[in-house]
Amino acid sequence: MSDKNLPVLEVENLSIGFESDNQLVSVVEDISFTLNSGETLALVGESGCGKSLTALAMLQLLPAFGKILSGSIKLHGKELVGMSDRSMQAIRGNNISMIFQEPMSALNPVFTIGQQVAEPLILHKNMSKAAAFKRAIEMLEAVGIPDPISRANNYPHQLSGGMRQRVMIAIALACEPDILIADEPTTALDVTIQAQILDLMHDLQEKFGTSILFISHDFGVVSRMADEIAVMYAGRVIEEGSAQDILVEPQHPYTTALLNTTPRIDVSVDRLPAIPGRVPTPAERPEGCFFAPRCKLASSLCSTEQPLPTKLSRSHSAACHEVGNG
Amino acid sequence: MINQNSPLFLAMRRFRRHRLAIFSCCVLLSMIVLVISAPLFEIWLGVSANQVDLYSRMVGSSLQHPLGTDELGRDVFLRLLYGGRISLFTGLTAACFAASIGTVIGLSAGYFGGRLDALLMRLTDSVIALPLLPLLIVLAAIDLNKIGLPEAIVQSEDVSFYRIVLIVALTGWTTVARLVRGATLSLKEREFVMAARGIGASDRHIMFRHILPNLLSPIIVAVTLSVGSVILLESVLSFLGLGIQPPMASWGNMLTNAQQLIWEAPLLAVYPGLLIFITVISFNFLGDGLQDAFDPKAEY
Repeated sequence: MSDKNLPVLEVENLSIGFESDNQLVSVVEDISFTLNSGETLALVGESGCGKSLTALAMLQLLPAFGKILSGSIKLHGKELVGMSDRSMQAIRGNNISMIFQEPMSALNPVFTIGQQVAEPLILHKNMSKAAAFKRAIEMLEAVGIPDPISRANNYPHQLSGGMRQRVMIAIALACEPDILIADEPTTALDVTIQAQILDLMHDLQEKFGTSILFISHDFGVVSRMADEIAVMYAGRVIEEGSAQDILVEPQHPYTTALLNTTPRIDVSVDRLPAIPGRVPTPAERPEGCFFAPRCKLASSLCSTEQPLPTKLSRSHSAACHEVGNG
Repeated sequence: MINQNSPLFLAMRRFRRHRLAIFSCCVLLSMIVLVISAPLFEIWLGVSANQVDLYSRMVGSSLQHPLGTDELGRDVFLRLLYGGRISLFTGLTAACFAASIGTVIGLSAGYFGGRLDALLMRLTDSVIALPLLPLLIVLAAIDLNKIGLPEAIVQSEDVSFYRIVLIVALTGWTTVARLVRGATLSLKEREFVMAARGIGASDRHIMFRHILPNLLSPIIVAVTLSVGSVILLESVLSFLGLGIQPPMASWGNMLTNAQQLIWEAPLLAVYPGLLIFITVISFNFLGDGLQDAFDPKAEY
């Protein structure tokens, strides 16, 4: 672990837009973060805040109408934005892998799970079918599939949701990538299985030294996994810091509000607080701070001028006018 | 080793419950065995299929001629077998060729979308809009010498067979193309396609290794159902004198010959007609059975 804290993935000033009716709407605006070797960075935010889009942009897999408008994504210092599709194909699954939210539909129904785990190995590592299948069985064992030799010949419809997500993880980690992007990997699973999958990801991270970019809306899940947390709201990163910083001493009013909506086992409340209003769509984002209309602390400054990230400590920063001077 | 849980195996298990389809399958299989062993029957009966014997024209059934002879004294049974070879072989190859063309066109149109899709689908529409029979007559009437094909091919006996296969393939791919395009459009939005992209698969890999295997069942059903109609089409063309050329026998041109003698020897028309009927209907039942067996909503 000597190379821990070395940056693996550096994202700078990334903006992503959607094209609709010849109009360009920017959805993700000017976000920056760094993923260090062997660490887990969590992107947290409500639905529609652009976190999944950011994840897809890392692999240059945006939907057809989405586009990277500006910014850079560097993998080990190598620029990925604007790279040809062919060169990206060599990186996907090999250097950067992704696991998706829906383990039910992310597996091809007509192939055995062994074949599917073997596929990235055949694509990237030049392995023969037999060798890849053998390695696939080892991977299935590593992700905790019981009796992997016979299970490898099963089809996805014979597996439970939790098992399928384990298979997805085996596929993603087959080539031992530097970075694993997990887009809400446990949302579709029930709670007990959630915990198992998170533990598994943690163990595998130790074993393979993978860096994880973890996308979630659930602070409970994030607190188990993350070393670093970036909170997103309406396409921007509004607060960033170590897990300790964000979970214990949140500074941005949105982060505080979001944390308050998460049920806690040690505090009993009758009603969980909700954040009034809703996330503005990209087209109706206000001037100034995007959160101002829903913010209790908003002043007149907030609705006219966009707050810039303010450094609060070495690791912690927040983008709010009320932070640092209040 | 057959994997007992593969979708294909499960479909076959459901297929076995479809009695009419199983029966049709047996009929077709025995027909195929019969037509393949036609030369054996020639040796056994001691006559050859195209052997003219003007002293025994239109005789009834006998040991030497199980189904009698035609107006030139040729053995009807043997000619039906050889005609069956041509008809079945034409039906199968032409349907497979048409399906391959249709699959490639439908897959590219559905997967890439946009302009290519528009172009290929307009092409499909125009082929569908062509009046088929006049077109087939024109295509069948093309003088192969004039379009510069080598003499060896033009003079060969099988040229009318190749011509029919080509004609059917070039006009019959539209159904499969539309079917495959539709299915591809829905399959490419499925998450496993995105997942495949996520592990670094190329477009070609995704099209042929991920989407195509999911399309196999509708394609197999479509091919099976189209074999029957191709056999009918071959009969129509041969009946019009534009298909398989005599002396080579096909069920279609046997019908043509029988037409002039329909009052003197009605059985000469009944035999090939009945065979065409049985074959086409068997292929349709088989197709229906496969369709039910491959139905994704069926229970396992």
